[in-house]
Amino acid sequence: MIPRSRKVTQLGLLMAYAVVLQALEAPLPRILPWAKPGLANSATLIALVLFGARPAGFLVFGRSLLAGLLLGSLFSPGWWLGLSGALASWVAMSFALKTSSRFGMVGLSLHGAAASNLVQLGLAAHFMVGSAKLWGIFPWMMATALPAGILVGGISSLARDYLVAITTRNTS
Amino acid sequence: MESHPLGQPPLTTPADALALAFWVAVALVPWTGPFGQSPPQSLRLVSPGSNRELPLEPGPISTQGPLGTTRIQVYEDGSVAFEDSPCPHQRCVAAGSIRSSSQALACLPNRVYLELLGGPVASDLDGVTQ
Repeated sequence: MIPRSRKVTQLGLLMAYAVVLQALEAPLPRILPWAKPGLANSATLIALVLFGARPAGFLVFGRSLLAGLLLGSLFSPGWWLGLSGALASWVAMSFALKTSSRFGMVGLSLHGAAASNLVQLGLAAHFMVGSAKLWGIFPWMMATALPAGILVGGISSLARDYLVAITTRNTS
Repeated sequence: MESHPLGQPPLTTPADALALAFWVAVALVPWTGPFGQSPPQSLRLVSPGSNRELPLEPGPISTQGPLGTTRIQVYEDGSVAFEDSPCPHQRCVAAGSIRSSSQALACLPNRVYLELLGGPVASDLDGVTQ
């Protein structure tokens, strides 16, 4: 069992990691309007595999609030959309991890990236545009989301091992 | 597949390829059929001095143009076609029927245009302001 102090340290580091990634990613130029790597999602994935669904959910809310405050987008339509995507990703990855232990970090990340795009586009189509025609861009969204999901899965695997290594070096 | 020393999920497993295949298949769904296009529920009919949005109910519709009366037919399956027009070449009639949202037909000589709309028929009010 992970000592409580180590868990708090690791969650704190993950929160900082997520907020910094989200803040750094926001002003990056985008090739396509929806194409965003979603690097902050790797913090959710790491928290999920290390601590379980509930702490990962806490991290999703925490990093969304902090990044929203930092970027000045808190409670804006884009912020709600981002939070919805992050929550969808969390639910999909938690479900995949709970129902099958066969997925690797890349597989879990793929589920998260796809669910995030699915829910965000659904909400945008229903509430913002009011037209199901928006679903026509879904294949294009997934053409960028799935490679991003693979990338995030790889980064998460490396970052998880590094996080565990630096927080257990002097205690074990 | 190499297991992780801490019992954690490894970087990748064969199941990840299945996850990728599954989401690629889901991604292609909007391109495989009418999904993504809302079914037409109304039609817009434009003729000289008139721009109407009508519910898509089976039956004939007539409208006046500079050459005379154009007759349009809405069929039971939701498709719409020019049935008869006073235009010289009858190209609008020969164009056949349309059935998907955003498809349109026009009779340019008689200045009649119609298109199928996906959403519900709008109310009489375009908007409210104070």
